[in-house]
Amino acid sequence: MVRHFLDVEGAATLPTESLLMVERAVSDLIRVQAMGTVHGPAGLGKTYAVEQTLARAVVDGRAGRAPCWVKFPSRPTMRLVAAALLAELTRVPTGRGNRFVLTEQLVEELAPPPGGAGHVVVVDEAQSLNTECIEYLRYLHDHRATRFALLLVGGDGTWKVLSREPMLRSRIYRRVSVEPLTPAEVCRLIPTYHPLYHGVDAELLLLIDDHFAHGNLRHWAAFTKTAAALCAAANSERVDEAVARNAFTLHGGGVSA
Amino acid sequence: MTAAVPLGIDPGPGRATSTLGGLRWVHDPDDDQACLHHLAALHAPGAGRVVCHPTPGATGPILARDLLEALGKRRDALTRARRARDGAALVRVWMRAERVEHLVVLRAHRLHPQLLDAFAELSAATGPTVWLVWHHTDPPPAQAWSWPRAVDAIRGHPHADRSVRLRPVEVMYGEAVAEARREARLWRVAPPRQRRYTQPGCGLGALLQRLTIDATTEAELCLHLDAAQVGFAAEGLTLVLPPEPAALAALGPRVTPRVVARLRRIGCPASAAALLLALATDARAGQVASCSPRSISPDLGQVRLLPGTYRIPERARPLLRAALLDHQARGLPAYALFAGARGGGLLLPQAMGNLIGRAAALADLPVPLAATSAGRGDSGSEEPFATALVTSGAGRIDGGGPPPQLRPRWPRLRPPRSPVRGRALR
Repeated sequence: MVRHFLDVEGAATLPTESLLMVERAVSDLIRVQAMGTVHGPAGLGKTYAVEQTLARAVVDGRAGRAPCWVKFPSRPTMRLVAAALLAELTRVPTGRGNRFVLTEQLVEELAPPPGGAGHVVVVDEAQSLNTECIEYLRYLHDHRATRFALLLVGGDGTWKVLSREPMLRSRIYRRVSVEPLTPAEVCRLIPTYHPLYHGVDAELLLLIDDHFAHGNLRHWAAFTKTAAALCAAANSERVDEAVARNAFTLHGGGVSA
Repeated sequence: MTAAVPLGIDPGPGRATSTLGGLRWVHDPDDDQACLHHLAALHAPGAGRVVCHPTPGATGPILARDLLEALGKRRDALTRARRARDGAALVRVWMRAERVEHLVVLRAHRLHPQLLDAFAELSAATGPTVWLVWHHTDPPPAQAWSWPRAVDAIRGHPHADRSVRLRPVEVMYGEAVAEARREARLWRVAPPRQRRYTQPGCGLGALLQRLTIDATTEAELCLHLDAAQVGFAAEGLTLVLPPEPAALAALGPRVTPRVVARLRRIGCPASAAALLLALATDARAGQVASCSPRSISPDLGQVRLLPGTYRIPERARPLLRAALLDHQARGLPAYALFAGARGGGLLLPQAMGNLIGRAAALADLPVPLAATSAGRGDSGSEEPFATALVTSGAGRIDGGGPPPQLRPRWPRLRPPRSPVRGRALR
């Protein structure tokens, strides 16, 4: 089950353009077993969108197996990448083998079963990868015995890191750059996000977006959690300007853009 | 048919068909996936083209393993063959045995300079053109080819010796009849009403193996068997083939391309050759163990074992060539192709059976007779058929049924022993 940030009760998934693009891209990657990337500033729902799409793909049988999510610390080594991937794929601690031994096991693990779909490997926070690790992931993906979809998800700087590598330019099959909500999207989508915003004036929504959320879904979730508590205390069903300004105060006067 | 020095083992690094050799650099400045795909698609060991994709950060032993894997071996072939330290030597052996003409090494820009030097030595020692592919914006150390031009050049040099040669049916049939007649002359039974049992590990079994092992279809198999019957009839013998299809199935193309591909997964040349001989000849372990380099014809097409001369299909000959090259490189005794540990003498049948059994498991192939408990002995019934010659002048090959009694059941000459140890009852 995919979780919303802060577990906001009553929150709905917004059909943003980015979400739809991520769904399409991930579906294409699974179908072609190719390499792709989803990147953008933090808090825009990249991970949520990928998780939701993969969960649906597993349910309807397109993904075949449970997706493998890995996240590496800054400047990881090839051995660390191999060990983390193998541990995540096999759910068994990798022991003390060197990177070549681990690579052999990884290649076997990433080979598709006869007649079955390959793995889906998602590398979160891909901006922390260095050239050696990107080369290693490329090797695994290009190996003639393996077949899997590789999705690199990352925040600020991800595309800067990935685009530095010529090897990835021709290998990235789908690239989605997730952007903040525009004012028009805020007015159109936020009323469907939570019952607190049903029928709320667009001016108030834009006020909240300008002073606090800045089109960032994580900020909208934080604001909604606070506003829901304030509305419950005031016995109100909708957000009004007073609730919004109290929420700004509780959040330190707003979040600078 | 044997020669003092098998010609097949020493073709030298250069071949008449190759005009290249040495190192060639290929530049792919954009590190384009299309380059890697086009070059990887050239991989065809049977056509003399091998593409190696080295493991990132490869060391010498790892690169040797990658090369062996590109040559069709299992990734764990060296450790399973207990020759983990012989990687470089085995790469040379298999490169020469498989007559590789083009070796493409991808991601060469990430290899250590010493490993690049090693490729120059490998090319000089074994003869192929080594194409080092430089996927980097910086140019390679020497003048480079563009990758599309390199793809065209590599694809445009098919191995001249590997073209399919079709022969007229009449010629094949005539040769089979003549060979059967030569063999039948050796099979006359002199005294009337004498009955003699023989086995497939005999001249007749070897003849049928030679005639049928290269058959590619059932029609070709029937053609050769018919030729054998005609040849025997011309010499006054009747060759009666078994009516059961199961018995006939033992003849024919046992060494198919699929079987050869599985044999190639074995890294140790001796193990691969031993399993090949056991599969192709149905010989017992002791007979395979007694094979020497001199038992193999210069073209590697025939092997003389104790019962007779057997044929080796052309597609499997690189395996024999590898065993001979490895034998030569290790300086093993000339009287034994399969020497014991530390270059010792002939392997005992038990050890040879174990070797073949392990190789069959590695290659995921059915266990041949030589690796069974029956095949480790020197006598006993041999599946799947036995031959009986009778005074009627007919050579019979009976499939199924009770095996022939090869040794008379002599009554026990020794008296029964008394309950007291060492004392006979009277």
